[in-house]
Amino acid sequence: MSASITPQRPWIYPREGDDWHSIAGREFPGRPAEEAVADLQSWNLYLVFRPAPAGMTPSDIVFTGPPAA
Amino acid sequence: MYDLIIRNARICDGSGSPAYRGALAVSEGRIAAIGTRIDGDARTVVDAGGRVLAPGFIDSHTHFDAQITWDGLATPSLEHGVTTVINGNCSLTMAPVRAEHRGFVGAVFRQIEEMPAAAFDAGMRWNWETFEEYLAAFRDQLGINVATLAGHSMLRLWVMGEAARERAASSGEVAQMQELLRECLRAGALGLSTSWVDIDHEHRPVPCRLASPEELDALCAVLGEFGAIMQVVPEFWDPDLLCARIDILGDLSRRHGITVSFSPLFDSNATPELVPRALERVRLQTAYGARIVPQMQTRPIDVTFEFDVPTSVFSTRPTWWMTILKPAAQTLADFRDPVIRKQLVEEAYNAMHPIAMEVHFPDFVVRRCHLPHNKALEGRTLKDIAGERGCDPVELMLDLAVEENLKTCFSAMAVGHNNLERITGPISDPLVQVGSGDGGAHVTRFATYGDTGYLFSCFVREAGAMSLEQAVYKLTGQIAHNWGLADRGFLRPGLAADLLLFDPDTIDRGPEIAVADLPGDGYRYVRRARGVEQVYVNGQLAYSAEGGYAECREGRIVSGARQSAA
Repeated sequence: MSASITPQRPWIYPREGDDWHSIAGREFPGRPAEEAVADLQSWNLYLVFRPAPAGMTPSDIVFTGPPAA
Repeated sequence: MYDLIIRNARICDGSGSPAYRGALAVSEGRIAAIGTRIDGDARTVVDAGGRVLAPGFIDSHTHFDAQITWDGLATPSLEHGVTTVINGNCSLTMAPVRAEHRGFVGAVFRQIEEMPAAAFDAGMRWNWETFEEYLAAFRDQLGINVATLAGHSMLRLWVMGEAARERAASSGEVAQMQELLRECLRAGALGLSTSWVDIDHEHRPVPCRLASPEELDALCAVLGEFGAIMQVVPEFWDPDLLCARIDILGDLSRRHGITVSFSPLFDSNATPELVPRALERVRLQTAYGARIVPQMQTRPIDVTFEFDVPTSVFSTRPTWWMTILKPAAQTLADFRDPVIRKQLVEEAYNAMHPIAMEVHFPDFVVRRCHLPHNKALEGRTLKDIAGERGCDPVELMLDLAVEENLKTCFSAMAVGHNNLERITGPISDPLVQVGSGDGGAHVTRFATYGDTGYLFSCFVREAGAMSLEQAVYKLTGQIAHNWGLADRGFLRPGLAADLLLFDPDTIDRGPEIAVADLPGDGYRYVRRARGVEQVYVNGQLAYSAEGGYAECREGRIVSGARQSAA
C-alpha cells in the first residue's frame, strides 16, 4: 500500500527567517501580497495571537488553506 | 521450593484474555509458574481469597524525574498498584544536563510541571550531568521500576547551549545530538520525548520547538536504530492541528520503523469533534503501516489554585493574568482597586475559556480557608455562598482572597475531559492507551494519582465500557507492548514478578487530599488507593493495604526490549 496520504488541510513548515509576507509570496505568488497575508493570518490565528516573545518556530505548522467545511 | 506462591486468585494475565481461578509462583524475582494449579511449596504462601491477581500497572506518562531522586518509591503511585513509571515525557528530563544549565532546566521544569521551587531546590542534589550518571544517582534506592525517556530539549541544550533556545541546529549540531541520543539509549533511556507545545518560564518555546523537521527526523532515525519509542505533545486542543501532527507522526513512524505516542488525546466541550476526528486519522495512518499510540487519561481535570501563584485557569483573561503575575502586594492592591475589580468581574463572565477547558467562576469551590471564621465556607461553591449573602460570586472570591492575604484555596472542578458519554467509547478503543496521568507533576494543582483505580470504578463498574480483563490489559500488557517493555506487563513464566492483588469491586481512587511531605516543607495533593491489597515489585512485597510501604528496594531501571541489540 502506498504511504501517500492526502492531508486534511494543506500546510507547510516555515523556513528560517520566514514572516507572513515571505510565506505569502512563496505560497501564493500570483496573489496581491496583503490579501494573501490576510488569508494566511486568518487561517493561523494560533500563530498570530501567540504572545511575544514566542514567535513562529521551525516546528510550527502553517496552514495554507482554510478549514475543511 | 519457590520464594512465593499466590493461590486462590482470579488471574488476569495482562493479555485481555478471560480471567481464571489459579495460582502463580515466584522464584528469584521472576514468575516461575502460573496455572490453575501449582504443586510444591514456597517460603511465603498467600491466599488471594479470590481477589484479582494482575501484572503491576505501568504508568506511561509521568514526571517523577525530580521526585525520584529523593523518593525512590514515587509515592503514592506504588500504592495504586503501579510498579513501573515512565519518566522524561514532554521533552523535559533531568539529564543529560550540564552543570551550567541546571538553573534553566529547573526553572523550566518548575514552570511546566508546576513543582514548587522550594521543594525542587531542597530535594534536587544535581550530582550528575550525563544520562548514565543520572540513572546511577537513584538506581540503588528504587522501590518501583523506572524507565526514562531522553528529553529532546535537553539534547539541544547540551549540544547548542543557549542557542538551543534561539535557532535551528546546524547539520553538525544535529549529528552531535544523534550521537548524544545514542549514548542515552545505550545508558538505558527508553526513547525520546519532544513537544510541539510547551513554553518555558520566560514564555518562550522550549528548546525542542526550535528544531527543524530535519532535526526531528534525524533523531527518529536513531530511535529506529534502537527500536525505541518517541513520545510527543501535540496541539491537543485543535482538531486540524492535531490531525496534521498525526500525519507527521505517521510519516516518522513508517520511515524509521518506530512507535510514536502522543499525549494527551483530550476531550473538551469546546471541540467535541476532536477525539473522533483524531482517532479516525490514527486509524488511517495505522492502516498505512504507522504505529501511533494516542494516550488518554481517565479522570476529568480539576484545578486547585491560590492567587499568589499564576495558574492557567486565568491565562485567557488578560486583566486577571496581568494582575496575578504581579508581586503579591500589588495583586492585593489591584483586587481592592474599584476600577480594576470592575474589569475583573466583567472579564470573569465575558472571556474566552482557556484551551480545552470550560471555566465558570460561580462554580468554583472554596477549597481551603485560613481564617477560622471562614472555615465554614470550605467545600461550598461561590454561587451558593454568594446567593446566601446576596452578592456577586466573583466579588465574593476577590473579597475572600483579599481578606486572607491571597492564601484562600479555590478549586475549579471538572473543567475539561469530563464528558463521560463522549469518553467511554474512545478510551475503550483498541488503539487508545490509558496514559497522560502526569504523576509527579502539577502537585499543588491537582492529584495525578489513582487514574488506574478510576479506570475500574468509572469505566468498568459504573459505565460498563470495558471488561475487567480489558481494563487490566490497558494498564499492563498494552503499554508493555507499545513501549517495548518485554520483561513486564504480562503474567508469564520467566517475566519479572511485578504483581498486583486487588479487589475488583472496590478498587478506586480516594478523595484528593493535601499532604505536607515534599522537601522544603512543601505540600502537594495526592489520592490514597482503595481496593489495592498487595503490590509486588520484582517478586518482593513493596506495599500492602495492611502494612503500608515495605522497606525493600527491589525496583529496577527499565530500558526497552530492543536497545541491547543495537
